[in-house]
Amino acid sequence: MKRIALTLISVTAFALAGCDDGAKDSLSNGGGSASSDPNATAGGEGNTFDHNNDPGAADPAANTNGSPEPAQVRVVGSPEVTSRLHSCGKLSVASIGSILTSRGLTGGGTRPQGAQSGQALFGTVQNGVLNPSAQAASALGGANYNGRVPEAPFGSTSAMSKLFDIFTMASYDAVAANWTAPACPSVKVLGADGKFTKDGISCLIGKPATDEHVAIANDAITKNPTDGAKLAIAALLSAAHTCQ
Amino acid sequence: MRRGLTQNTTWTLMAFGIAMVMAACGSSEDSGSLGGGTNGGTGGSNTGSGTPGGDQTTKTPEEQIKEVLDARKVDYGEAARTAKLKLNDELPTLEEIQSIANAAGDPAKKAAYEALVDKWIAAPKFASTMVKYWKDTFRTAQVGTIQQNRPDMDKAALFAAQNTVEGKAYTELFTATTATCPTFDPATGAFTPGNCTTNPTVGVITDPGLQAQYFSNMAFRRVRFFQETFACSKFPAEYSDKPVPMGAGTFTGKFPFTSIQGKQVNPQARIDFHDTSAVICANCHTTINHMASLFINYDQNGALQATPQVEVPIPGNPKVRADDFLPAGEALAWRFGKGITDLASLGGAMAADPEVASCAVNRVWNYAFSRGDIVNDLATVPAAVTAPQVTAFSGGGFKLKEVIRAVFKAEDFVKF
Repeated sequence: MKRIALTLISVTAFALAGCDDGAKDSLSNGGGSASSDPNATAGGEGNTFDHNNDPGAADPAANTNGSPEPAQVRVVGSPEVTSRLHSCGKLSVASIGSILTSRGLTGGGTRPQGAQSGQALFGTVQNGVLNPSAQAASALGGANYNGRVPEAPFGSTSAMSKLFDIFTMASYDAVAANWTAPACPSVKVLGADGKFTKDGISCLIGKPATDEHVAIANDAITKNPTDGAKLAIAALLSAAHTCQ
Repeated sequence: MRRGLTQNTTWTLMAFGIAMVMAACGSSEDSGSLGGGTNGGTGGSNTGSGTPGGDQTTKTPEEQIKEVLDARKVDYGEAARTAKLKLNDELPTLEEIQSIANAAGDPAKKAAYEALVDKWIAAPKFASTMVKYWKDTFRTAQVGTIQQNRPDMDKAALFAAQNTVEGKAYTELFTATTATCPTFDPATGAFTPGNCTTNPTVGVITDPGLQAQYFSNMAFRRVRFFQETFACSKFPAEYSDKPVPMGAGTFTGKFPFTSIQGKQVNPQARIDFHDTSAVICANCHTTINHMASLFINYDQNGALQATPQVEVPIPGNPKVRADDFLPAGEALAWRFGKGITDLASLGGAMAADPEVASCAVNRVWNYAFSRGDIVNDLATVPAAVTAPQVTAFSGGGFKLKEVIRAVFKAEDFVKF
């Protein structure tokens, strides 16, 4: 069942990844293939015929000051509303590294044989600094400046999968008896009674934890004394840090 | 290894399921509400009370906007988390988290939060974050070691970051004639002034790294870069209030149609910018062509040469000439009515353009609200939203650092 689920997710991810029509009218050299649309005005390598596809359209600035399209408003809200709301940006690659380091998720836990730590999935420590591997940076939406591509502002399926993998394996570190977090001195995620502490959860999610956080996390321990704590930590990290 | 991979997969799927459940949890300042109807920070998807309902027809657009925005709740804990991630690339420490959580009442929480924002902007890490901000904005950075004859691709971002961190006038990005190639120590967050080996030097406009990164036929990619990065819109950059139907579309430019090169003024023109058979070339090129020739002498390594270095995309790929863009006698311009003569005057025109000032503020706004790139992600910001910050920016010496401070303390930023 799990394999079927994983297969479905993978197939969907690949299918979505293949949807780029390569006709983006962008300065970015994003690597898209040439457009198959004979009427497209996007350029390719060796030319600059990379035009706005509708240059005769109305002034785009008109949308920012006038009445927006009713259909657009129905789907995403008016520009006045959406621009005042926080969107769901992706954690920067650098932020992920700093979270692992500052929260003590550095591979100190006892994992199943052969499993990599969250830190190892992210990168390697050189001269005391945790640097992402090229593969991890790519999967997490890191920049490709040679190709004029900045770090992706939003998470892709790949980035989310990689991030959750990292947090899942990092959960082994947080439940270890010798876990310490540089950013949260003298705090333990699990207290002497084996239950979650509020400060420990606050440390992991980077904001004040609620009583509900603690209750739900402890419920996971009650229902699964062996792995419940790790499951809860993985879930807390993934949920809290899905958005920047 | 195989067992390890299987473990990873199992854990990921289980964690993902629980994550979906726990994502509904707010912070302590939202206790009593497990996803209780507010827009939980997933802006862009209007799932709040602004979703059309049965009584929508009775509400004006302004009332609907107010309803959605009023449904948000102040959450300084959440605001601190996302603020520090964007200002320092780090999560708040437990001590910082508790300074807000333990503050009694909203005024005290607000004071605690704003003190943290000031602290994070003053931290050395803020400088590194700004370097990254400008690398992403310019889409240009040095990767690996500098190759022979190639420029240091970091310099433009370092100069812009130094300008931001040290609270200098943003307009210096277009007007500075010295110290535009600083060095940076990430450990201390300190910039050391340095000069580029360019002559002339005009802010980032003459930066060799940018000129190299955006090298292209007829220098059009360079023009687009400066337009999209600093004016926050694609071409066409300006619109006439008297559009003229012609060919396959409508000419909407402000410059006269024949102010640029093309068959109508020169049957021997190598590129016919007057063509209207597919799209109206002149809609964009009336503006583009009035400044493109300023960039044609920079080679693919960003070095200024005595002769044109970019090519015309026609058989034989000849080097471009100034008269490929404009008919003889036509003057250069940043915009219609904003004449220029050289790169220095282009920089001056950009520095004086209110659109450039509002673009800088709107980019900061989108960065703070995780809205993506204002051009590529179509994340436009209505003028009314950032009007207070734009006014303060323009009237306060164009200090982008203060815009960042103001945006991260804005009422909208601390509401979710």
